[in-house]
Formats: sequence, structure tokens, C-alpha cells
Amino acid sequence: MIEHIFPVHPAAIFILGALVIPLLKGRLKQIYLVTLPVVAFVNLLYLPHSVFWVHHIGGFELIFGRVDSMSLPFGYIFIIMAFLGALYAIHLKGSGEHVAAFILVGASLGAVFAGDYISLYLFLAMMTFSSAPLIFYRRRKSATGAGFRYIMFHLFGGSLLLAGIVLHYTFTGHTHFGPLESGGLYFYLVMIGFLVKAAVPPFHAWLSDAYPEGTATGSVFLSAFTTKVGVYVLIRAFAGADILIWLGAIMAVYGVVYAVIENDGRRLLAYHIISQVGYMVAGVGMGTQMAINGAIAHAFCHILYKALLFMGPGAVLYVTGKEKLTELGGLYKTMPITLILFMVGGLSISAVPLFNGFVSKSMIVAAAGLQGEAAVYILLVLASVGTFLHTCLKLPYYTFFARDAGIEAQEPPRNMLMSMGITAFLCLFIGIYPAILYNILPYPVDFVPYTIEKVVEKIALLSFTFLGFWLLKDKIAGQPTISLDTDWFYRKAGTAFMWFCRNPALAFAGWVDMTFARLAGGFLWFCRNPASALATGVDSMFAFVVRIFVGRQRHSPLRALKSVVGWMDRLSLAAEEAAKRRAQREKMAALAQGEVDVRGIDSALFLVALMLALFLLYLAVKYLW
Amino acid sequence: MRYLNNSEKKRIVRYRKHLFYLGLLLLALLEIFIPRDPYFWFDGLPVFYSVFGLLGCILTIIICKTLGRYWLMKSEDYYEE
Repeated sequence: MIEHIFPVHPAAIFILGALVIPLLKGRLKQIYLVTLPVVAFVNLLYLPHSVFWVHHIGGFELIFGRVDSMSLPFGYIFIIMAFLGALYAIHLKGSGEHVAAFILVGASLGAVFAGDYISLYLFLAMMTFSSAPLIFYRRRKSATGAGFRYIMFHLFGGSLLLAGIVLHYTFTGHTHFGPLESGGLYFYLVMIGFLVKAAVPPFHAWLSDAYPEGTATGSVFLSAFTTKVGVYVLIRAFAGADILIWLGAIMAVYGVVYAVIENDGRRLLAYHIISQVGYMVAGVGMGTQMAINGAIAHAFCHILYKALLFMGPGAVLYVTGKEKLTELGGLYKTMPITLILFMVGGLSISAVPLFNGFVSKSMIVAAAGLQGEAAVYILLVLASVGTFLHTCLKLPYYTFFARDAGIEAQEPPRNMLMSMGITAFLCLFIGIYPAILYNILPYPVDFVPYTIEKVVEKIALLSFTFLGFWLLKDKIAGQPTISLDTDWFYRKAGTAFMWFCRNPALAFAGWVDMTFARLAGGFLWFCRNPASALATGVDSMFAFVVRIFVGRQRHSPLRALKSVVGWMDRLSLAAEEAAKRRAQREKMAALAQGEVDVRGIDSALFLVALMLALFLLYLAVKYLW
Repeated sequence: MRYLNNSEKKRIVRYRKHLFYLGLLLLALLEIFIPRDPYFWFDGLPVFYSVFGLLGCILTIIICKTLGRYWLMKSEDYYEE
């Protein structure tokens, strides 16, 4: 019976499934939203390890389904996450966020199962555009700005990646997505393209800029997919690249530094994504079987506990409308269940024994130890101190305890609590029974997380961190500030660019415009009556020539006076003309400075899509028949 | 807790604090006496992780806050000018 079931591509289930959502309403829609991931999961279980869905288009081999032990763990966790995220957001009435989220899930699955650079690139681009609406739906000015910066930065990374892919094809003649040999320019271009996805400093600022601006439910989806796809593609192409060890270790501490001075709860969590992805990137750089296993296991666990962590402040934001630590406090009385579930996430990310972070993070740290990377080892342990300090102590302390901010609150809707509950259960389940995770990893695992030594060391480390926190807890209270990061460069550059457009560029455009207007006016004047215009021309030419040949009595005093008066006249006329031009230019500048009609972008995009469709049609017609 | 008067509350808090310190002491002792299999010369030192946790936490806070105060932290409307 089983042999007769032909599995569907997991990405297709989500992308096509998302298009149905707007047609459904009420209870039916809610059931549909949670059933679709279940169907996709069952479908994934029936996918054998092999290569499917290979298409030859335009001389390229597009491989949409490379199913192996490297891509399957990501497939499992992405679909589990889709279920949890959909359940968390099920109370939303509108369809837009659901559609965007499901297309994001589908595109991530497509990227994970892609076996060649071209389909990978297409799915990565699709991820960018499907995740941006989850930020725009926040419907406030700062979110719109952050969303546009998010898209622009990913397009920047995407174009570097595309350039790398084209170069790679030129040199090697194939687009198969596998390990890249170091050296050529394409190696670095593709690497930077992937580093942007994985939010590795200095290409990370899009993450801490955009994720906290997402909607309460959208950020849960955002936190799970993009960076983990980044880690997956790094594993595929750059396992064992030494530079990644250092980038990862620095990244792990970098996120912690910013978390100390952050006041926005969800931005603090976003910086901890950067920190946690640092562990994975370091693992990829080490490239040993244990390190790669650790990176994949950590990505798996990270998606679960980070979703749970984003759900906590998301619920607080949903109920109270506040997210700044300086505005919150004392919520433990009204939201105790949220607090407990959030703490499960906090203990997981801090790698406390019995929680899932412990069984995955210690694998990467141990791999660093076994490789003799002393400095990396110290940085990674230091990052775990910082992680515990902020996610597990500072954030809950200032949200749920500290001073009572007197906010009226209650527990969030039941579906939010249910989703958080299931996620918390999974975190604990994997922490207590790690074999279930270790069995799906690509290489055999000979790592035992629960030894007396490791458990005691970890608990000692974290307990003394707690002591440090308790001694200095008033020093790390949130302050109403924002932090400078590498987004400073392009945000300031953006402002400077707009100034340039509004001042010198617009003035130049106005000058060109006026010149051509006068030229055109001259032509018009000529065309109205060419005969008399010609006659006038001939007249003035004649006068000019006569004046040259016949000459004038230059030295008579009356003549001289007359000429001075004439010049004065001409000067005042010129001044008047200049004033008129200036007024006109100002009017044009005012026109350009008003609200720009953004709907224009839609139609532009539509045109681009239309052209793309026509081009694809042309290719299909040319190469298939 | 809700039905206790202030002096009783204070006593319970003090009791918990002592319990916590006792736990820390116990962990430090455990770290000295259990057999260890260190990766490097330093992480096998007695009470390495306890000291690392405490110092790491305090130094992280102090260094980051200093960095923030003199360089990184700006007012919330910094980008809107």
C-alpha cells in the first residue's frame, strides 16, 4: 500500500496550500491552518532518501528534491515549526499574514531540498519577499522602514550570490549545489551571499533591525526560518572553512554584547538569535562529523526554543501592547502561565541540563574542545554565560518581576498558550530523550551529553552567573535607548542619499528642464509663423552685419549714456527672469517632496513579473518543443 | 507568602538566600572533587567554571555597559532627524 503513495514536494504543499487560505473562513480556516502542516509532515515521512523532481530548463539542470540525511532534519523542524506558528496565530481574522507565513515555510523547504544553485537562488529570493509582509503587517512607520531595509539588504546579499553563481557556472560549467573549493572569486561571493542569510556580522544588522518590528505572531515565524536556511546552505557549501570558526565564535559573543544594552525585549531576543547562530556557524567551520551534527542538532533545538521565546514577549505585546523593558514589570501576577512557559524557553537556550539546548549546544562546544581550539572554546562558554544572563534572567526579571508597572493584563488567548505549551513540551522532551534527535542526524553520534562532569560544570557555571546577576541586577536595567550597529552605515547613507536627491540632484534636474523648456519655446515661436520668424532672423542678422561694417559713433557722450542705460535695463530684466525661474524650480521641488505614490511600485513589480512570465514561456516553448 | 507579615517574609527571603549560597558552595566543592576529563590545561582547574561564570557575568555587564554608555547607546529618535 505504502509503495503506491507518491509523495508531493513539501514546498508545493505549503505554497499552493497558502493560496487557498483567503477562500476559507472561521472555524474551517482554523482547522485548515493546523491540518496542512500535519499533512505535509506525513508526506515528508514517505520521502525516501533520493533525488527527485529533476527538470532540464534552458540547458540547466534544476533539482528540486535532494532528500538526504542532511536536508531531512531541517525539513522536519520547519514543518513542526509551521504547525506551532500557525497554531499560535490561528486567532488572526485576516488571511494576509497566514498566506505570507505559509509561503515563507514553503520557500524555506524549497531552499533546503534544492540540489542546484539556480533553484536555491529562486527559493531564497522567494523567502525574502514572503517574509517581508510579516513585518509590514505591523502597520506602523518604523516597521515599514525596517521592512524595506530588510528587503533591500537581502537583495544586496542575493545579487552577490547570483554573481557568484554565474561565475561558478562560467568556471566549472555546472550549477550543482555542493561543497565549493576555496580560491576563486565566486567562493567569496557565494559565501557572503550565505553569510547575509545567516546574519553573520557585519552582515547581521537586518535581523536585529527587522525581527522586533514584526507582528506578535509574525516574528515567531521570522525567527525560525531565514537564519537556519543560512546555516544549512553554509553546511552544504562551506563545511570546514576555517574562517567560519572565528566568525561564528565572534558572532556568539557579539550578540551577547548588544543584548546587555538593549531595552526592547524582542530585539534582545533577536540579538540572541545572532549569538546562537554563531555556535552553528562555528560548528560548520570546524567541519568535523561531530561539529556538523552539533550544528544541525542546535539548529533543530534553536528553532523550538527561540519560537517559544518569541511567543512569550509576543503574548505580552498582544495583551498589553508594550514591549520595552522600561515600560513593563510585575506581570507575574496576571500572566503566570506565560511566565512559566517562557522560562522553559529561557532555560533551554541557556543549555540547562534536561532542556533541549543542553544536548545540542554542548555538542558544538565539545567539538571545539576536541579540536583544541582554546580561544573559540572560551568565547563559546562566555557566550553561554551571557545568554543565561539576558534571556533567562534579565528579560523575565524586568518583564514579569522588578517593579510593578501597574499594567492591566490577563493570560493570552488559549491557542497562544496551547502553542507555547506544545513547544515547551518538545523542548523538554528532546532534552530528556536526546536519542530521538540524535537518530535523525547525518552522522552517527558518539556523544553522551549527560555525564556527571558536564552536568556539574554547566550548573556551576550558570549558578555563579546567577550570583553575578543578583549582585549587579540594578546595573543592567533597561534604559530607553537604541543601539548603534552596522545598520548605521546604510541608514546614514540612505539619509545622505535622500538629501542628495532633494537638493543638488533636483536643482540640476530643474536646470535641465528649464533649458529644454526654453529651447522648446523657441521652436514653438519659430513654428507659429516660420516666414516672419525667418524674416526677423534675417533682419537681425542684417542689423548685426551692418553694425559691424558701418560702425557706430562710439565716442559721443550721448551714445555712451544710452548704452549704460541699456545695460542697466538688460540687467534688471535678467534678474526678473532669474527670480521667475527660481520660483518655478521651487514649485517643482515641492511637488517632488510630497507623498510618493507607492502604488507605482506594485505596477512596476507586476510588469517585471509579466516580463519574467513571458520570458519563461519563451524558454519553455523554445526548449520543450 | 500572601498571608505572612513583613518580618516573617524577610525571614523566608533570608532563609532562601542562605540555601542558595549553600548550593553554590556545594557546586564549587563538587567541581573540585569529581573526576574530570578536561580538553585544555585551564578547564580542568578546580572551580574553573564557577569562577568563569561569576567573573564572566560581572565583566560582561561592566564592559558592555561602558561600551554602551560612551559609544553605542543613542536616544530613541537618533535615526529620525
